Amino acid sequence: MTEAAEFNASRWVLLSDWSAGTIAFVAVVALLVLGLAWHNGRGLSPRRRRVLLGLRAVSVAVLFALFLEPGLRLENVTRVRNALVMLVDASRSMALPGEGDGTRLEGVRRMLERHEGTLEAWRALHNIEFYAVSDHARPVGGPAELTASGDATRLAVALADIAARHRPEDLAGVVLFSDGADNGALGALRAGEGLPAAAREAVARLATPIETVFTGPRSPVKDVAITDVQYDAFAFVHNAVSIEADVRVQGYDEVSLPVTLRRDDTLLGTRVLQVSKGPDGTAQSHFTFDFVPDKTGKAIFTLEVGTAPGEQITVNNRRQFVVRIIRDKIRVLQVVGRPSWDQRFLRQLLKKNPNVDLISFFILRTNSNLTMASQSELSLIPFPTEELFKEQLGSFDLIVFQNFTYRGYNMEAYLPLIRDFVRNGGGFVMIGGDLSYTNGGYAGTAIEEFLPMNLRAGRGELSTETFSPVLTDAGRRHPVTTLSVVPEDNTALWAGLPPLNGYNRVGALRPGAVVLLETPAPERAPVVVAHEFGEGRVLAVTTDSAWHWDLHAAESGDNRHYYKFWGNAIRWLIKDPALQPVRIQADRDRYPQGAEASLTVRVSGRDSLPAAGADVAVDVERVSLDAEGRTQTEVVHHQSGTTNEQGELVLRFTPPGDGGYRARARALVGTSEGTDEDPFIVAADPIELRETRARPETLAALSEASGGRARTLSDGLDDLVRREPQVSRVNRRKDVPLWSSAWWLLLAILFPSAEWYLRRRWGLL
Amino acid sequence: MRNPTRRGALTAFAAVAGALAARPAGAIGPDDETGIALLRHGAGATLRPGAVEQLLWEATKRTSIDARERPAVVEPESPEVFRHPLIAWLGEEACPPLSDAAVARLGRYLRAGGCLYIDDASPPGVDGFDQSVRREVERLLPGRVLSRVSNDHTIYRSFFLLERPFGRTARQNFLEGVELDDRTAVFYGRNDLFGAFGRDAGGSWRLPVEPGGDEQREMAFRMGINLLMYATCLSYKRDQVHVTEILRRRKWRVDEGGVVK
Repeated sequence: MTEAAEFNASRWVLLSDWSAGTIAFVAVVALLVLGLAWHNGRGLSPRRRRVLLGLRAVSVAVLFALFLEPGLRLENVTRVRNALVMLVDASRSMALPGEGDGTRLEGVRRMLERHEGTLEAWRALHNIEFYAVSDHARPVGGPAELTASGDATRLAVALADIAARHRPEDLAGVVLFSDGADNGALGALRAGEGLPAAAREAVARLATPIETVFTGPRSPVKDVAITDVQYDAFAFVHNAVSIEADVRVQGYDEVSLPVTLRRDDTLLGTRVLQVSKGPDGTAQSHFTFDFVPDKTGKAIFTLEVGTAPGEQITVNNRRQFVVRIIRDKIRVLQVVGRPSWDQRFLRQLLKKNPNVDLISFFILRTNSNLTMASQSELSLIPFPTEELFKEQLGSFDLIVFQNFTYRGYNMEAYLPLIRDFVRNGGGFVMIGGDLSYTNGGYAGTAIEEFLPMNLRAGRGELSTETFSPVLTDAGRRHPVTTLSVVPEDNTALWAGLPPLNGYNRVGALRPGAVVLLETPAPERAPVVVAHEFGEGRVLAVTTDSAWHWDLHAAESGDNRHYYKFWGNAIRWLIKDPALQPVRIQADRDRYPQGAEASLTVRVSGRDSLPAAGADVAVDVERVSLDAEGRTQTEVVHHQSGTTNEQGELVLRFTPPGDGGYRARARALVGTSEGTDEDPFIVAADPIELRETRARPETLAALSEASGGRARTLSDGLDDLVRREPQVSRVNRRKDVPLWSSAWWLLLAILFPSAEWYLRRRWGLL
Repeated sequence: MRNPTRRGALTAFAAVAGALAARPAGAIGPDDETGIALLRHGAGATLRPGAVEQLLWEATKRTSIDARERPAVVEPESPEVFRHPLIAWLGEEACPPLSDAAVARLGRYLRAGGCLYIDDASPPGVDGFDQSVRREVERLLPGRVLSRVSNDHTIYRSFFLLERPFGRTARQNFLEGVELDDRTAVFYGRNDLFGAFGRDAGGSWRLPVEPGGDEQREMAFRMGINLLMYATCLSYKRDQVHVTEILRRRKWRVDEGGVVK
């Protein structure tokens, strides 16, 4: 083996073992010698003085070198390859058009293919590691494994990931390929601004120059994008809700587009987007949609902006999200025809209920009353019929007509509005008395249309008998009349309540009316009747003496059943979801693409206890809107099963793609079928597609802060600055002394001799 | 007793006419019409004959309340008290203590939602009934004492606007009461309220009203009607002041321009 092959590293060393102090002392002596030589030559001509001093200096230098014993150290060393990190943005925005043909990611791939030879050569010194960058940096085998599918771009996080994985001394370099469309810490960075703290910290931890390679179009992509939607995941029914949206337009000087908001397929509002281009070539528009949810439950909302001519990216023109509409308080309107004990105890009950927002209006005086006082001596206000039954009607969840007649208040025009209120989902209770039902003149009116019974024409009839109401078969199971979940106890509790005094006689029941309480046989007149009308629910109570269940029952120390009865009634009337026998719930409102959804179905029996062994069928529909905004559904999954001991059935399935979905559950509860549905979204609005503009300034800022260079795809990689790998082990070493050479001896004799000769010749010796 | 005035005669005529006229039942059942029950303790049930009837007649004439025409009389120990949300206890001299059973019954009645109006009909300087009242209220509602009812209490505006309590006398210009569950369960007045209402068989007022005469009697009727209104409507008038504001504060509609109303 030749010596050159034997050693692969060399360096200069001092072979002497003089201490630093000795070396310093000798150096000072050498300088003194030179100083004396300069001093002694002061009588000479400048030329002779320089010559002699030069010869003295060379002599001293040669002797000093001999004193130090310089040598060449030859070594055979082993080096460990360091890491050349190639970070490639693999977010969705990399699938957008890049420079020239193809996507931004394809541009990166082509560049890497062009430099395959270079990379191969570098592999001798470096481990070339590829990472796909999205919300984090994840190792991949090579460019072929990269797909533009990440739902975020967090460049600072990715750099921090690399800093956590490698020490700075183990890095040959960091190369970042990206379109710069960061939606993390660097998302708000503007050209010329310093890095935000998170990015600054990541760069400092890396302590390695970051070479960035920008991939993206030179001119802005033609795109209209919904960049942000601000909404609350929860909203209150009958309370105005604001949804705000930011729309960014780039690549257009002028465009006019509709912006729409839909709840399922109901159009909630339309705005017009008018563009005037901003200083950075883009235009930002802000929209606010206000609407009032009229029913509880989850719903899919779709915000959409129209497609501009020639628009290159349309997937970001639509955003879908789920809002859960809940009830803050139950808004009850209690209208009373005359003060009475029945009204007094019901009002007290409603006032005590913290979940009820009560508006009462009592008729304290009619036109037939003689107050014997001027208006200023009375505390009366006019009956605000228009405000209550027209302007504010829709703000209520439940209307109670308690021994109230509409006659005498010019209310005829409002009765159809009340009917429509019920038809559209409102609750309504009519409570008996001498001003109710037929006695109130409701026969033939819009009110009668939704009552559970026909009203007798002509004068009403009142029964003044005292009776104990009897629970019907339906009443034993109905949530309104469930005082106890144990059927026997329930029947006994009803039988133990104080008797009632009188009731309104009414006509035949309508189909679908469910009598819950009735007078004893043989008459069996309805006392409490439940009925559904359109989307709404109606409860007819034909007596005005239910207050005895409060005060009178308290005589035995227990008036809670009065509260239980009306509490049940209110919850049933407003369709409290907790009363639904079948409920289905997805474990999330929004899933990322490819994630598995877990659907839990809960079935409870009429006794409100979990129903084990119930057969359940679940359909999952994909919900989309067609061009006209109509809902289109397609069943994408069907599954059946049986509930466990807890009355639950858990189903899992993976939605096939982006979009809105609705899971529907059906189960047989007793003899009737219960249903429920729950909507959810699958990654329909990735953040990646909100900001599509390629941003070279982000990459330039990273490079500048780290001491690297910002380059483009066309700049190539050949001049990439890389650090050499570090030595990990010295296998063999040889020191070659240079001072022992004859040349050094010759020089040590030659220069003093020359000085001696000249001094003698010039007469200085 | 004062001579009847023209207004008094007209009122008396109206009363008789009203009593003769048939009228529809206000509530369906016999126990459900609004009324006042007299507590049979001491002289309470018989002290002011015809007074409750006259007050209820006036209430029916002047308001939409359709009141029971005859007062009920309840024994303090009887479970019947629970059928009458408003009970009046009248007296003018010291009474024997209520039995323990009566105290338990009435105490439960008050806590369950009943209302007791105590009317001291004794003349100025006679405090025997007053001492009995204070003693019994402490027994009925242990730990609670009668305290002055504010002059902006709902009872002063439940129908008529009044500045203070009125009655046959003007012994005290405020009421006392006991609050329970955001309502006044016990009122105590010392102006012989019910003394201002009674008529004799000839239609004349049984007792003179002092010092204000007929005008004071009218105010006493208004006070009585307000009591009845408070017993049936509780804090309704207090809340009603805010109804319009509450309704208009609700942001539940969006107009055509997208503005929330």
